[in-house]
Amino acid sequence: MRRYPNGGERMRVKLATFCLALALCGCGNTTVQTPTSINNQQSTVASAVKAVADADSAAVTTVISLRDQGKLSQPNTNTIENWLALVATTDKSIAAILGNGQPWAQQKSSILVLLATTTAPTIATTIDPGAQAVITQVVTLLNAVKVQVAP
Amino acid sequence: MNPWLALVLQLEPMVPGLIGDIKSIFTKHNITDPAQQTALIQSLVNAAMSTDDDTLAKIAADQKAHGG
Repeated sequence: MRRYPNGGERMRVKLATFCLALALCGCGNTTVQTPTSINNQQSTVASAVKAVADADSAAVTTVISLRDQGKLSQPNTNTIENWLALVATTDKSIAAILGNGQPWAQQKSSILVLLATTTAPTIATTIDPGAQAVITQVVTLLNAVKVQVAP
Repeated sequence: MNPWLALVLQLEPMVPGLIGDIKSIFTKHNITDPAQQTALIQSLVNAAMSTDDDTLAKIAADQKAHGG
């Protein structure tokens, strides 16, 4: 029998099951527009874009915490925050592309161009390991998006 | 937008990861209807943009407070 370590996860599973039941019961209407092409890559990229958003948000919290603990200088904090802001802006732009209804081939090309601007800051290898870890995590997730849209 | 999807979007901020769970269920049960897939992608897109907006606001507030 599966055990849940905390009530939050159990609640999430219950809510997910409830929402699925609603969907399967046909409670939804049919007003959602259907683009001409949907494929697994689009779905995978959409999931990855959400994962980047979550990781980026968590990274900001971590960096601020490290700075407040005296483990990260203010200039380095600013540098990392500026990069995380760039990632958030890029991630938003990618999300907008995914929702624009254009053919996937066109969306892929536009997303690939955007990802070229998100190179990690050069201080990434010289700062507190905790800050390095969050930067690495965001970079890894961005690369996951890049793999899906690479030609 | 489907009422159930609206509910998921409403609950996502309070139950982080809910949309991911829904996606897993879609995959597990092989729900391949294009309209539902489109709705799922749109829900992920909307959730990502909302999170990114929150992140940008958090960074702006911190930099304002610390002279960044």
